[in-house]
Amino acid sequence: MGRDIDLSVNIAGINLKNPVMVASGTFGYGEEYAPYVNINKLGAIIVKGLSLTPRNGNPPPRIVETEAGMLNSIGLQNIGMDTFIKEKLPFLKKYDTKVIVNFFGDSIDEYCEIAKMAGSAPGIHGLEMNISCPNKQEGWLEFGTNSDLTFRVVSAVRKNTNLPLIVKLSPNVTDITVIARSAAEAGADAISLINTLSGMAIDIETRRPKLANIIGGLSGPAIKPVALKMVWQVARSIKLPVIGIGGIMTYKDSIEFMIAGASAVQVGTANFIDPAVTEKIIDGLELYCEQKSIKAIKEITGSIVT
Amino acid sequence: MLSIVLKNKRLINSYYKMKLSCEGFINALPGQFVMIKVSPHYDPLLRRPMSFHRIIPHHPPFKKGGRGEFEILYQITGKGTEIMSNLKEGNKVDILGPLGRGFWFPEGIEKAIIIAGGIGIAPMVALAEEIRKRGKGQGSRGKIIVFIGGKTKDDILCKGDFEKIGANVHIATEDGSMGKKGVCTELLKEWLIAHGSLLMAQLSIFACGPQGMLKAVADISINKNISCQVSLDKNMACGTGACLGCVVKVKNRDSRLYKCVCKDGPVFDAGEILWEEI
Repeated sequence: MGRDIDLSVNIAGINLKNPVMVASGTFGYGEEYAPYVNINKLGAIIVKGLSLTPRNGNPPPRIVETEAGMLNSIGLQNIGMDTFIKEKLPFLKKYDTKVIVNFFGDSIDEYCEIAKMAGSAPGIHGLEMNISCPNKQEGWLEFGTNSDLTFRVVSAVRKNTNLPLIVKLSPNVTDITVIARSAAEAGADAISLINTLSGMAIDIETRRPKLANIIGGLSGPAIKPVALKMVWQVARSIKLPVIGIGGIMTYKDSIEFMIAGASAVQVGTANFIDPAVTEKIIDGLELYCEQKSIKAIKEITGSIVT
Repeated sequence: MLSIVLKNKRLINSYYKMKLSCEGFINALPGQFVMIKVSPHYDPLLRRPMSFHRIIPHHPPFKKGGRGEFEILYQITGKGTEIMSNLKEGNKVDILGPLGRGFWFPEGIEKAIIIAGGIGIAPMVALAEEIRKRGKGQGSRGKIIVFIGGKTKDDILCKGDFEKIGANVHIATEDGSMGKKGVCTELLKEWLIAHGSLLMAQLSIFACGPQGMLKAVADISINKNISCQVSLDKNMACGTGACLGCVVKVKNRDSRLYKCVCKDGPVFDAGEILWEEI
């Protein structure tokens, strides 16, 4: 394989050796997959979403398989920022990959508090704000569905951190470009999208919802066309780098997102099916570039022909 | 890891047994499982968790490049298992494993009680074989008593496998078509009464089956102060503790409300599970 192909990308000031990251909530805190994938090969790890204090998450059943996809309502179960820094970060620091902390809060203050904690913890290279998780029971008005709220929470966090700040958007909105612009104006360094699409499934024998939480977030290849469209829309409406997420299973999917305008991608649900899928995607990207005589992968970004 | 289907045959009705081989060694314990990708397509998307039904010793052991072999016992319950049932000898499937925490073997156990309902019998043959192996030459140690329950006689599997290794097998069917009419947990209760002189500390129960059955077994074991391990079955996405999809509520011992069936289990101490809310 050609060694002269430049796979590196710079996102929000973070230098990634390649544009492939693992999406939050699909890779635990790294340890879970360390036996199965060469973590050193990854562009970055986005850790399972963290809150200020630990969360128990939703009652089970929490997952259900759907056609070419899955619904989840994990309910943001996590160990809390403190425990992450003490018990999980030292493990991640051993690897030559970037560590990006995905986080969320119930209030603007909580978001800011976590951002501050992350700033004083060596080994965290960036932040990804979850302003969109559709599983949160308490936040019926989600930050990410309202452009004013998005602006307020992102600008507040911006004032509290110098770390590169990625804002992860919800697809469950009327016009995602409006929210993306608010996040950009509030000082985000990059935008990642999409989070899961809100959905549900019903058992026709019992007539009960298949998830205890009734609704959940849809992920997997089923959502790829929706994600791709939104990435294309956002990439052409803001100047910030965009990270494409949504149903990526192969390097071809990743290339599609990059052509649509993504500077990097996150692989999510695919990790569950093949823990080493990201390695294959990275190799595939290199091969693609070689075959197309592309010297640097960043050339592909936004190269859509219309 | 690519695995080759060596055999795949229907036992009865919707029950099937598959023998697989894989490169390298399967250092699996009874109660552990593999995640199988039944087709390379996106539907069904997720792997299917399957417990080891039999773990076949390597011949010759520890030879480099050797092959491991194992069996799984499964029931067609949906799209994934339907596809599995159509796999032919020589077909390749991708497996991930061995995964999870299997059964453990408490010290000083004289008699092992295995109780299973329906397809819950799947991991119990591997377990019985391991108990037999460990108890060799130790007198009454390694004595195995098996209780199998099912709706009808067609749901009673593996009776012969247990008898072959000298286990004492008791059967209950809900329609009375085989063994005693009723549920196997009643058989267990009766057996414990009949053997009231035994020291409960020398017994160990291993259970796998429907949740209602497991709850009943857990009640009996807690009541009688007998050590009891239960193997739980939940829908899983990753099988490695990453997705947190297959959780079960546990009694609050170390501040964690939920544990992952895939990673913290699938075998749990019966006293650890919050049965009221399962």
